[in-house]
Amino acid sequence: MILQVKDITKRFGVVRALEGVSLDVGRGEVHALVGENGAGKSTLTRIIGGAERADAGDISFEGSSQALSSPAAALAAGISIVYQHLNLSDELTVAGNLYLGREPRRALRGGVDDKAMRRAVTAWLDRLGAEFPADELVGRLSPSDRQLAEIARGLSHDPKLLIMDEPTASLAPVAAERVFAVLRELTAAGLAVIYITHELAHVFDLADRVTVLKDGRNALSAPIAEVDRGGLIEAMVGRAVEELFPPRTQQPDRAAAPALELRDLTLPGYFESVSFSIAPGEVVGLGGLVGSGRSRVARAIFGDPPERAADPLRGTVLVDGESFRPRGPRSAVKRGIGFVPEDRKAAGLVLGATVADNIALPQLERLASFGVLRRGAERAVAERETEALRIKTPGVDAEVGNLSGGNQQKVVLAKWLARGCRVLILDEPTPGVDVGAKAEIYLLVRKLADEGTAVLLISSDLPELLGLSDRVLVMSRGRIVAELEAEAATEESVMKAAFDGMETAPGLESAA
Amino acid sequence: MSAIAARVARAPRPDLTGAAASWLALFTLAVVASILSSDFLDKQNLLNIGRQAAPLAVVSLGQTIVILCGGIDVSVGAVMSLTTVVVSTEMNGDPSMVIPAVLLVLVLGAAIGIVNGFLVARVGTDPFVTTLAAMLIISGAALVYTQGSPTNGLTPGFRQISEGEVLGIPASIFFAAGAFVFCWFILRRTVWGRTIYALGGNMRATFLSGRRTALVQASAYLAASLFAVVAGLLLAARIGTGAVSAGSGYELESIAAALIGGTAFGGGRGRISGTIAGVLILIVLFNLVNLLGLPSQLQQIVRGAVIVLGVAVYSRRAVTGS
Amino acid sequence: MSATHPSTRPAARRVRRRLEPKVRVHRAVNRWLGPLWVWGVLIALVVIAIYTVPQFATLDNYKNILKQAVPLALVAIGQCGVIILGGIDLSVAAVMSLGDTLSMGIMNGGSGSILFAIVAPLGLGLLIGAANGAVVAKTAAPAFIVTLGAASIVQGVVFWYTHSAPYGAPALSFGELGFKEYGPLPALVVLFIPILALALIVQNRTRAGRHAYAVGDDDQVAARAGVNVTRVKVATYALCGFFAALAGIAVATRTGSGEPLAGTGFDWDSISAVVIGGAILVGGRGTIGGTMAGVLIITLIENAMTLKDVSPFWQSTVKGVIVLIAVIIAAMTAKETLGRLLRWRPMDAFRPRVAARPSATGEGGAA
Repeated sequence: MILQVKDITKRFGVVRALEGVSLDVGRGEVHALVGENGAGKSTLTRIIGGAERADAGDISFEGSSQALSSPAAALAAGISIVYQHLNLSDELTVAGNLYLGREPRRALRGGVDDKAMRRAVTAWLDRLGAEFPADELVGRLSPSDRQLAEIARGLSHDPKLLIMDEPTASLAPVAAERVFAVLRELTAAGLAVIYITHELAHVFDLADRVTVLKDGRNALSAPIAEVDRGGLIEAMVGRAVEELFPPRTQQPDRAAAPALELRDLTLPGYFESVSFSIAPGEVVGLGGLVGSGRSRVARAIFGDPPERAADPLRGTVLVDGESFRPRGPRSAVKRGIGFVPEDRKAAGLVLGATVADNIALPQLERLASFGVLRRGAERAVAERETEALRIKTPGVDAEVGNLSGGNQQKVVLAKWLARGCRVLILDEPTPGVDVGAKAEIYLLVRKLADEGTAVLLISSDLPELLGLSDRVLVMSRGRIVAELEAEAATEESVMKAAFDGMETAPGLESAA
Repeated sequence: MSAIAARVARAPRPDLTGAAASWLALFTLAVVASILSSDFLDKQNLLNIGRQAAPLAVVSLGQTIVILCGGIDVSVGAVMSLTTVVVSTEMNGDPSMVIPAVLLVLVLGAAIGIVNGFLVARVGTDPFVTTLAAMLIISGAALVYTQGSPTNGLTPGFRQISEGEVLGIPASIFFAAGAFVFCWFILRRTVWGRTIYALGGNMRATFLSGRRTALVQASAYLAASLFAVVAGLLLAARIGTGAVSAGSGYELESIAAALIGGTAFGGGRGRISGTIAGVLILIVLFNLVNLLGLPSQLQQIVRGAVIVLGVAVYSRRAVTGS
Repeated sequence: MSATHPSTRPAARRVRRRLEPKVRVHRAVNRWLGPLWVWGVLIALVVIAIYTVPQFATLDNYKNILKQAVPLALVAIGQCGVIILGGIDLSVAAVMSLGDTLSMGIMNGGSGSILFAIVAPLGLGLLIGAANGAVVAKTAAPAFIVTLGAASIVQGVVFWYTHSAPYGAPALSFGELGFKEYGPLPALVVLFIPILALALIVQNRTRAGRHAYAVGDDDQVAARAGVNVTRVKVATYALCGFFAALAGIAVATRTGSGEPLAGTGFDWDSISAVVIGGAILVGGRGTIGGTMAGVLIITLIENAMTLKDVSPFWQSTVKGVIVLIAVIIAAMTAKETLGRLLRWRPMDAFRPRVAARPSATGEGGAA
């Protein structure tokens, strides 16, 4: 065993990220690490990579625990990590990035030995089947090529253990195959790999062993020959269903005119021919793997742009039966669309502002006469909402950045509840939210639906998706591949549809 | 982890890095100054400080607005200079021309602010370089306009806005106080002001809440220019002449006053009361150096040191996601 | 999964082989010269000046332009480094004045202390720059405030040292330097060329140069890769101070005594030159090559305006307009910024746009 992880535990405040997790990786082994979002995979990699310390438990690399004291020590000992989030400098060349901080120098004349760098990097690019030269600026590479460069960087450290976090998330299929081939060659020569992925096909292609993490615990660890797809999915998702979800008391009136309807909405490169409708009072879940295009659809409806939109948005959006052109958030808000974005810190909240200020933000006009804010009205709204949502805060004048994750998320919801929406889009409403607050948020969403709001729920948390939705749509590679009634949908059927879509859908390479 | 620790530690404590800290520093400074120089607390000296502080206060208020929404305006000094020369030339000693001259400089200032705002908010240019270019253009225009010589057309009546006294207090202090109240009102009590703060705190979240981010951002530059014009008028009335270099240095001092007053560079946090404290800290220090009879070269050294130290100590980083 | 061998994709290799020479030439040109369009603008300006400005196309005038450009070029080299870092140095003008007056003061007409008169200002410049860098790296204070404050301090020291009047005098041999010529080139230019070469080598051929770009692009990525961000910042600002002092000494060769305001205007001019040369103030971009084009453009315009008898009062305005044009071009060609996202209009953005995916050989313009 090159790496032995035994019973490690890691807490962040009251949140338990890892609880008694064990993992053994042998030389020449590809060890797949799978699990839902938030299962603890990333925390585990950070601990192995020396970026975090475990609170309890033993961890040793080649028999020594010293190797994991810091990222630099881990790297020096031979642990190299390819992160999911790209870690390259746009303004340096591929070669410059691969050797950043450890540039070879020329023996006699000093300075950077560009020739040696180019030679070494080109060898890796050759091996990985990359089409771009070592002298290209990283800022000019496509996402897939950047990912390949990142993998090349991980390999160029000549590691003994390579950790890859979703390495193929934005990699073109051809490139992914090359990467696998190289990994097979290197593992045959003794390299150990921890391979984190959502794509089960890759697990069976590549891995020798697989470990499933679920809610920060080991759910399964077995040689690949002893598990099958179904068993893996079951281990990932099967959990005691907690009574988090409020009962569906009212049947949505699907005969009524839909509150939101999409007809053949297409954004080339992101999603294709997406059509569905949501009745007033209905909660429609949009499931699928990360990168399947779910968030893009939601953002397109709200008028929030992708970074590179090369082609026009085609198709029709109807709100309450009337055609609606997504011109931007302002017009969407005016038409009664609310949007709880994926990343509350980056996009949902003004962290430095108070609870009251944040709640008031989408409805400032209503709280003002002739542009002058009515302080009483503003406070009243904020106090009403904090009370209704049971937001735990010292007061409405407290800074939002000081609240806990669950209460922050409630403030984001309060923004839109205070305004009142015809259509509410929730993009991953509960990551990092504790169970109690989750249950409260679910109750709110259900209540909102019962009052006639149409809700579009995007979630990677399958119990949440199934427990809350009246109907579940599954997206894969930018297309809707399945529509399941709440009664008929199970975690297995959603995952199956998503994974099947990955393999069969002719759709887009990657919609991330 | 440390974030949680910081959260726990921060909650009960009053915010000592913001405006309150600046007022505390000002108070301490005043005590020290009165010990070092017996003339400091002299009524005439205090009024003098007020008279000197008025233009800086007004221009710093506008600067604070721009910094609050995440930008910077280094053209305000040039706008002030331009104001002094245009207003004195157009007035040309004729009392009936006072109002047209003032209106003209306000229009000029508005035009400059709109161009700055449009470029930064819509075209997406860097605020520093954009307003730097504006500064170069305006200074050049002022030079061409005056052919480099000072202009002396201010009427005695106009000069009363600085030199006149109401209840024994210089009129310019009332103007500055009015500007402060106005600024406080629009920042704290209006939709616009709320949007300015939100913009500086998190532009993306503000945009996704349906606010008009570009328009409001642009209007901050308009406000800064208009405040600079008013400051220029007060300055012209105080020095009694129009000069192409009259306003130079005010861009630096206004930014320093805002930052020393606790406004975060990068936006979203800050109070204009802090800016006023920042202005007074600077002016009191300059005044003290004067009172102590230090040579003028030393005064300049002290000025620079005060600004670097004050900003280094009091600067706060803007709050950003994660 | 398909075959696991062979270990190279011949097709991919062919593609890369075809791209390699183009990309290498493109990168090399960009690194050493900067964006070519800036040089294009310079050439166009030269052509226009030749036809519209009398006495422009004379050998003496060319020498004059080059000679005039040297001090600005020196300051701009240092400024370029700081801007690549994502910083800015507004103290260069004051440091220049210090370099000028201090070297003149030490020489004071005698030739015995020439060496000291050169080394002392350079050391002081280095020190001032390092102090700037340390404050910028270690506090939340924005760079332009720190350096503008430093400018005030240094200028105050200069006034105190010179009693606000011309001060000192050059040694005879030193003063001749400003007027001497080696063949067709003024002595100053001849001395400048090796300095420029050295600066280009530091930018392109050393770890320090690479690291400055990485820090300017994203200092956290750089730090994670093991770059000592503080050291890079302090060193770059220190070099900027050094070059500013050197520029002051260069100015000293042409004046009969140390001018306490010798550096006035060089702060903005140097920033303008760097920005015209394709740098962006948020950092990560910019080249000394492009900066040199910017320096020549500014100097040429000043020269042409003087020859045309345009009032010197217009110069500032014209420079401002040039900077404005440069910054607008930079904004239009910049990579996606948050600001641009916010101004997004779906229906506009959805219009077909070319080059959503940057190609390896794409036009490099202001990149």
